[in-house]
Amino acid sequence: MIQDKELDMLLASYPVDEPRDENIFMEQLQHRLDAIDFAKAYHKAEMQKARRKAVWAFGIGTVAGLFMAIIAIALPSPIELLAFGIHSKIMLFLMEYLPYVFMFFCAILLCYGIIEFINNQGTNVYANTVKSA
Amino acid sequence: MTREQFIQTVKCEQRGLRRFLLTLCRGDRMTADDIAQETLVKAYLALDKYDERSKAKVWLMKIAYNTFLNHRIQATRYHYEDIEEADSLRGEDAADNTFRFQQLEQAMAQLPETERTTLVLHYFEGYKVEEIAQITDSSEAAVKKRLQRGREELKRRIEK
Repeated sequence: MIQDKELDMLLASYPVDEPRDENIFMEQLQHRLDAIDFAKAYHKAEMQKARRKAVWAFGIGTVAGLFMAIIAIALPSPIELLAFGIHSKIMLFLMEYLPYVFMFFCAILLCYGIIEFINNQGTNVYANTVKSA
Repeated sequence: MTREQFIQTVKCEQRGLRRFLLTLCRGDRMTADDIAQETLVKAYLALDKYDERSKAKVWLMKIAYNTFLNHRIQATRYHYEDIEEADSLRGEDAADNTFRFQQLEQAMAQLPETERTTLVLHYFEGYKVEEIAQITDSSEAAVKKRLQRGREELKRRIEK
């Protein structure tokens, strides 16, 4: 068994393996970091695009919804025409609020349509960009 | 830290980092450099979590050590030289340094991973006990204990 002092000298003088090809190593690292930066920038751009689409869909939907609400309020209630002979309170209730129910489903369909339209526009722009590249 | 600052930091620290990994990987340069690259990519991705009050080299070494441990779990065992090979290289003079270094290398290879890493960081890379504790995510008392145990084991295995 060796002594402490001898072990210290051995550890201090041990020729540790040195790394080589520093330039190649740094070059490889730079390429990797470039790929990461590209992916980050692309992701950021996609998020911004998605936010813009959401704002547009919200804006158009709100305007269309308000427009439809005004029309619905302006129209006469169909209850006077359709309630002839009906005594059920539930049916009468539904008929009274039929314009609003109709308006609600139209709003959902309109919203879905706007989002699909904007998404398709985005897809077409991407497809054209890929084609031209 | 910006990308340029990160690159500057890496240029200063990459030699020590790669040397440490080369020792842990027992001379396998390709694997050591692969782990080093993975370490630096992880560090770049975690730049927003880097505390500029702490030393960059300690932070990088910590990521390197964890990456090495993950790599070791996934990969097969590293081959290390048989003891018989050291005997065949023994010089006639018992004080021959090459033989001593080979004995040291083999004794180190037989140590538990944590003790070997602690000895490498302290004696070959010059880290202090508190820095080693940060790198290996242990207490300073545990690091001191590993250093002591590692030394005892080396003294026992290396012939006089």
